[in-house]
Parts: sequence; C-alpha cells; structure tokens
Amino acid sequence: MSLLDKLRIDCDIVSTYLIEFVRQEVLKTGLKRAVIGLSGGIDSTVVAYIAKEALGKENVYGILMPYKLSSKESIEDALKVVEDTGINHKIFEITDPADAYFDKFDEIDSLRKGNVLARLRMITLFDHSSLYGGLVVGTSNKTELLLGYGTWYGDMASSLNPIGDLYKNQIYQLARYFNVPRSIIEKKPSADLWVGQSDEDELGFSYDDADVILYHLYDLHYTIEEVVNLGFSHQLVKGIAERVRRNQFKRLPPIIAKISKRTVNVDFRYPRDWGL
Amino acid sequence: MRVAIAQIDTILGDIKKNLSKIEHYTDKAIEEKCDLIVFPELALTGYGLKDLVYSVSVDVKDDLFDPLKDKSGFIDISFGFAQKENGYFYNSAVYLAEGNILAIHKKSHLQIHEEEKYFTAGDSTETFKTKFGNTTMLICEDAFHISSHYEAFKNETDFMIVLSASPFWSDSDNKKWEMWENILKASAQLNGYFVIFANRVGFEDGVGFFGKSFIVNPFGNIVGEASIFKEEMLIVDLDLRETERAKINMPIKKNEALK
Repeated sequence: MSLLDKLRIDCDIVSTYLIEFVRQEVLKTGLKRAVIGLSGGIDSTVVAYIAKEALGKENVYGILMPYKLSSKESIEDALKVVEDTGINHKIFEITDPADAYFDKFDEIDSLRKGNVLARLRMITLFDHSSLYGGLVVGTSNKTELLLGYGTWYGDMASSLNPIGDLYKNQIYQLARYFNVPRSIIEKKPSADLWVGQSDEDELGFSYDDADVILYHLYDLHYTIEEVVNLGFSHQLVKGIAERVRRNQFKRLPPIIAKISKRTVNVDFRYPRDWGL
Repeated sequence: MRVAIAQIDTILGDIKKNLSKIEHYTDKAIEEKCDLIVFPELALTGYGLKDLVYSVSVDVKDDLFDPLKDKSGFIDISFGFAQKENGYFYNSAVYLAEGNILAIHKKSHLQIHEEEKYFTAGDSTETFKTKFGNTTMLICEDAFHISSHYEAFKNETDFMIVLSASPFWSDSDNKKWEMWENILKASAQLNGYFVIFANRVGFEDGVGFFGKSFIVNPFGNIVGEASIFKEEMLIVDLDLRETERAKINMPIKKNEALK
C-alpha cells in the first residue's frame, strides 16, 4: 500500500456531506446564493460542482478575475467549468485596479504583488456577494491552510469553506468523482501570478509528499522522526512542520488585548450558528 | 412495543423552536401509535452551545416541560436538554411517562473540547422502571466508557437508550458510525438488552452530525436504521420477549457473580 492510500476518501459519502454542508450552512443564514472565485484550478472547480449540487446552478455565481499576466488556459478552464455546470458567471478583470495600486510604488516585489492581487479578488468576491445576496464560498484546501500557502484576508477569506479539511490529493479524488474537465485535472497546480508559475516549484516539494507528511504529523500524530522513517528527508519534514507552526496566525482571527472579564473569542465564545 | 426515533436537526440556542419541533414529532409518533419516542442529545437547545449554555439551560421544574408532560400521558418521551440545577449546568436527558418526569440522567463522561468547560459531570448511571422494563439512559460519550455498559448490565437493563450528537468524520479505514455500531451491537449482545441509538443531523459551525440512528436487538442485530444526514423519524416494532429469548440463548449473567 502506498502512503498516499491512507488519504483515500469515500467520494460518495464525502460529496454528499459537503453538498449538505453548503446547502444548510448557506440557507440557514437566510440567503440562498453562493459566490465563488473561479480560477480554472482544481480547488475552485470542485467547490463550484459542490455548490451547484447544493444550491442549484441558478444560485451559484462563478467570478473569473484575471490579471493581465494570468494565463489564457486559466480562463479557458474556468469557462469549461461554467459550461459544464451551467452556473452563472462574470469575467471581472482586476488589471486596472491592480495596476493603479502598483503604480503608486517605484518597485514592488512578486510576493507583495501576489498578496495585493489575492486581496483585490477578495474585495471583488465580497462585493459581489453583497450585489447578488449570496455568501462567498471559500476554496482553500487543507494542504494550503496547514502550509500557510495563501494570502491572509485574500484567498483565505470566505464565509464558509467546504474543502478546508481535504488535502490536495483528496481534492483530486473528488474532481475525478465529479468528472470535471480533464485539462483541469491534468495541468500542474499554479497560483497563476505569472506565466509558468508552479506551486510545487515555488514550495520546493510535491503536493503528494506534503499531503503524506502533513497527514502523518497532524492527523495521525506521528513525530517528525517517525515521519522521516517513512522515507522522507529530515530537512523536508522539519521544514514542513516549521511552516505549519510559523503560519498558525493565518488560520486564526487577530488576537485581542484582553482587558475585561469577557473578551471576544477568549471568554466571549458563541457559535457562528447562534440562533440559526 | 413500537419505538420512534426522531432524528432531528436543531437550532442553536432557540429553545422555543426546538421545543415545537419536539412536540411536532411527538404528536406524529402518537398518531403512529408509538409507545416511546427518543430524541437526540441536547435536542432542546442544540449541541455546540459554548457560552449559550448559561442562557438556555432550564430547571426541571420549569413549566417549559408541561406540554410534553401532558403528551407523555399518551407516549413515553426521552430527550436531551441543558439542565440548570443549584447554579450548575448539566448535559442531561429526561424520561417522561404518564404525565411525570420518571428519570433524569446527567451525562457522566463529558466531551473534553466542547463540554467540560461548561457542564458539570453527573456521577452515576441510573436504571429505572418503565412499562417496558428496566431502562438506562446514556448520553453520547457515556457509551464510549465500558463502565457505563457494566453498570447497565449490573442493573439488569432491558432497554438502553443512547441519546447522541455524534459528529461525522471518516478516513480510509473507518467511518464514524461503524464505531457506534460495533460498540452498541457488542453491548446489546453481551448484556442481552435492546439498544436505541438516537443521533441527530444538521450542521453547527461546519460540524455535521451524521444521523444513522438505529436499534439493536438483544441478539446484537440492527433491526432498524435511519438515513444518513437526513432529518426523519424511524419507527420500529420490537418484540419485548426477545430479551428473555436472548438470555436463554446466552445466559451470561446467570454465570457471573457480580460485585
């Protein structure tokens, strides 16, 4: 058995569960629509299929938000999803607002640029959620959330996230289950911030390795040494564990200086679904 | 004997709406000529209450119970609620029969993440007589402790009721409900009693409850099971003589000197 087999999910049950999650957690807020940033990548594609089943194609809005450096294939793939699912869509280019912002600086590195683009997309999605009366459905998977490979209050921002407890490998399992367009499954994962960018090149390891390492460290409570003994370099396992620790802040709301006896999120603790 | 399990979703912190749902299913079960209806853990309040515990817990003397007490003249009713007593809070289950509160069980084994901060643990597993036999109520995690099953066995239980709010999880090896089925089938078979497992459905802050409520007979067989993830009422006819037949088949207690 390969180590990745441990991440096998029962797609029938998991998809039913996630469809119910989106349906119930949206409807109980009194809204019935979903707004999703469609990148043409595997994560937002799977979320679009889930949302369509949950709320009906007429209640799902896929927003494509290309920047001038986004690849043409990304748009084509996102449009294939729109065509296959029949959901509503809108192409909203963010080149003008992004460049207007970038022009305020003589120089701006690619990390800052990437974060600004992610946050402009967040603004666009939340504005459209208000325009259409829907909730922004998130598309960050568990691998990204644990690695902190995303922009805080950018692509990590949403009202609800059906795939945040699924590793990248498990997203692919669901993608095959939903029979999403083949080109989306076959291409290399990319944040598409510049032409030819590859997540795996940028991270320095493969998603398969990351998934297996993260799953053993955090889901199965293996120690770093025990994971190394599965056949990974100490440097890789340690590096990934360190990334997870360093990025814990991204998985939480901001910390608050405690003064009173009841501080929001510390000892003022209410569920989101309060009264829902 | 005809048993109904109301596998319901609840609204977090809205006692009025949850109570009216409990009444609705109770009326339905009376129409269906059921003798007992069982609801999930914290059916009156919802499960993941956090700080809502302080405002939604009720004293057993509260007149909130009156309409259900009245209905218990026609059907026995068991449901979970957040109980307030002498300034402390309990995750409790009540059993109503013939217009009265027949028994209260305070959950003894609290779940660490959600419950221990708020609730006080009960300290016993009580068995009480109903018109169907000796009955023991457990609440969710109580049933993960072998001591609870041992107490039920010692007390000559005929009916074990497990009120539950069990969240869904699954991985490549296991699904959550298999754990419940394994534990409760073994308990029924070893101890020769019926087990009624009433689990809820719905989502709370992303945590989904899987439903799949079921009844095990004293031979350890599942004799009725509700759907996964769906609110519904399961009705099963039980032959009460089965406890006796199971004990002839496997006379376990006869050969054991209990302390």
